[in-house]
Amino acid sequence: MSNRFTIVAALCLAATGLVTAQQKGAPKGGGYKPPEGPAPKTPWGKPDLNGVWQRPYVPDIERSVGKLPFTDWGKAQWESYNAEEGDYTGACLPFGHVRSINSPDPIQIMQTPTHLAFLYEQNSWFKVFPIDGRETKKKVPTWFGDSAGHWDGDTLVVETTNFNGLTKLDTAGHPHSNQLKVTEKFTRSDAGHIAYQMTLEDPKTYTKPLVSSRTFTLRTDWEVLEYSCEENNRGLIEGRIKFPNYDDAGKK
Amino acid sequence: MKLRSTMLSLCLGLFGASFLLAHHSLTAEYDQKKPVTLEGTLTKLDWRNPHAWIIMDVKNASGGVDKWQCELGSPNAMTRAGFTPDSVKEGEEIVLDGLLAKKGMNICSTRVVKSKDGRTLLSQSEAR
Repeated sequence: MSNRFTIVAALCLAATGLVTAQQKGAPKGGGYKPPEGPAPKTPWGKPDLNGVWQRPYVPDIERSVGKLPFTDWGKAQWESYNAEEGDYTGACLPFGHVRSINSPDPIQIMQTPTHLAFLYEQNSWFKVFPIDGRETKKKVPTWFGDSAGHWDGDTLVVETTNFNGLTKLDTAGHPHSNQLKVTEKFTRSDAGHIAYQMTLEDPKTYTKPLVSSRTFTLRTDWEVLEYSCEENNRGLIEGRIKFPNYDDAGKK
Repeated sequence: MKLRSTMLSLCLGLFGASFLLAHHSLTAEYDQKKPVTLEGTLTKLDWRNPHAWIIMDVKNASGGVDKWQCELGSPNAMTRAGFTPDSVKEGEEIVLDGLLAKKGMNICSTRVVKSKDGRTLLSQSEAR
């Protein structure tokens, strides 16, 4: 690395630091500390996953799981993707579960003895599914897929299949097919955190499972807010964002 | 309008992906190789989801005024980062750093909005 590069990098980092410092002084920005102590349990004795959770933004899943092991089909999908021809999320279509988990907006989890609900702030979507071991009836393939959960000790395991294959894994636009199976593990590691692991199996797109581990942080100072995607989406309304061509996408 | 490309381009080259990859692909709509700095008067702050917008008047080289619209992050994320609709006032003189849109005239994506004396009023950072 040249000295010039180092200096520019330092200046850029300093600029980033200034922005961060400014935000830390703001009323709702920094200074937050999650609760401490042991992992809480629900009144019915299961680990308590309720709360509004902050997650790391993962715009490029390759940075989380390492070099992606594309199949020939997956490589062709990735190399032919051009967001200018229609990033479906810019058109306010459903992000799908994986891209929602990878998004920066908070998710509220609501838990009962039999069901779990994800309340995604991103575009104000939700997803409700059983967690008492019953199987989910397969319906029409969907953006968010069909989920079913069960407890493995103190870890909630959620398996999701039956995706419509029209979503991307992340903002960068990494592909998946309708054969995708997502297995998520939620472990309430302490009062302020969930240890989260996501495994993506999609033999049409990747030769090996993709495994990503993250930490969710409980935000007792946040509420999930309304997010109207259509209201002021000027890029789409004024024609700078293209609506994706699903006649082509559906053939994949 | 003034173009201050060198420093911003270098920063974008080094760290561009971290803030250009918002929840939807900003690179589809904005050109990271075309940074822009605007100095002018804020005429409207449109604080609505999914993304807020700044509308501002900028004097052009021929002595007239061009109306610009520049996109911000989601009001929800900016609120959590400590910014509010009161962070900048209509009629205030501002300096805005952003990226030009690939299509359309006088449209940009906002990175930072500062007062004329250099105070940061709004910042994207990762508040998309």
